[in-house]
Amino acid sequence: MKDGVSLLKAAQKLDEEALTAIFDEFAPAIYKYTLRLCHDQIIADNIVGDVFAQLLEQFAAGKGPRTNLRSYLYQTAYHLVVDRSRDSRHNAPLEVAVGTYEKGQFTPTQSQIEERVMMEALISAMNTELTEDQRHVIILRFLEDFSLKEAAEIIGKEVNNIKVIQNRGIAKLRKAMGLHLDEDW
Amino acid sequence: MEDDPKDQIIIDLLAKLKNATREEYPRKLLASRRNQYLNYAAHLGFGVGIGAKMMSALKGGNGKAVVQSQVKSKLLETVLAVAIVAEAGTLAYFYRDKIADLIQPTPSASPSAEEVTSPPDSSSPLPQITPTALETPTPPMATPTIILTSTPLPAGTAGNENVRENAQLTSTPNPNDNGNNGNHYGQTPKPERTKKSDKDGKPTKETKDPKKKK
Repeated sequence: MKDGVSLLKAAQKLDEEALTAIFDEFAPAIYKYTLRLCHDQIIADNIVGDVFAQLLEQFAAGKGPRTNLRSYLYQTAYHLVVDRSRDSRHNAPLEVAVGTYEKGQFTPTQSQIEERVMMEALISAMNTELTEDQRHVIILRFLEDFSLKEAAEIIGKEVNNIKVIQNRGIAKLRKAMGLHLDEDW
Repeated sequence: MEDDPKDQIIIDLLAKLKNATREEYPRKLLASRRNQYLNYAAHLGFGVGIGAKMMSALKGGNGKAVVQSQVKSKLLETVLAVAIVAEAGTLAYFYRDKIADLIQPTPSASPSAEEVTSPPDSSSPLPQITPTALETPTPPMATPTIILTSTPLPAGTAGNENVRENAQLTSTPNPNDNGNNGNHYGQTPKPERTKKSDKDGKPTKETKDPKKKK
């Protein structure tokens, strides 16, 4: 398989192989990310389609990303999610994660049950306590493993702002889960 | 921040949450989306693909006869299109005057027509249609009604304008005739007296001043 830069160059020439490789690599991740934000499989699927359609249009126009394709795709997805959430306030991120976590096929031990309770409390705190920006930064930084710089590019803010938003988000989560932490740890 | 053990606990929990999320892209949705994506890429890449094939054919990339014939046909098509455009451009250049005439018929005639025609148009109607010609018929139209109704005229002078004027003068009384400069003092009829009066013709006291009673 081609490396990132050569893959991008080939994709800019609308090389079918490169375009297919890009879709296969990034579409599931973009879907997951979008699903965390919008909590709707159909909307997530539509957004994936829009993201890659926009990418193709950019390539056909001789534009598009030159270096960081992953960050570019997430950025496009983020903007599309924000646009859709403006139209319909349908936003309950990470509830799907709870559902899938509950579907996990294992026999829960005591510690696993405690961990599950903790996880649910964390998800609840993320959904209720954090602002939109804080939630997005936490998702990008800790669930999608983006660097501070990449998260800043995706959201469209300065790196220092992202740092501040992340710290405040973590502090809010810690405060919201204070009781649980005192009980369990 | 991350040195704080409580923060680290949160970060560890977030990492576990990431691994716990096992929501995958449904296969049917993924397959259909992939097909749409590739179809769209083929649609957009049609123009680009021709160029790429031409380049590869020129470089002798695959050497397949079918591809070469396709490239040749496309190349020929392009050359023909360019030739047609060039010919049309040349013809348009030679016949540019006629084309300009077609697009703008007699562009220089319209301003001259305005210059030539406008002065006579503005000057000639004014003397022809004089205000006197329009105004003179109206007073005679009004006066004959007065003439016919007020004073009978002699039969022989009915159509004469001077007679009409005289008749008009006689129909309305001259204010200087009675010597009052147009005023009509004493000409209003006296109202009839309806109330009782004494012998001298003066009104009685009751009717003269009713306020004195009170």
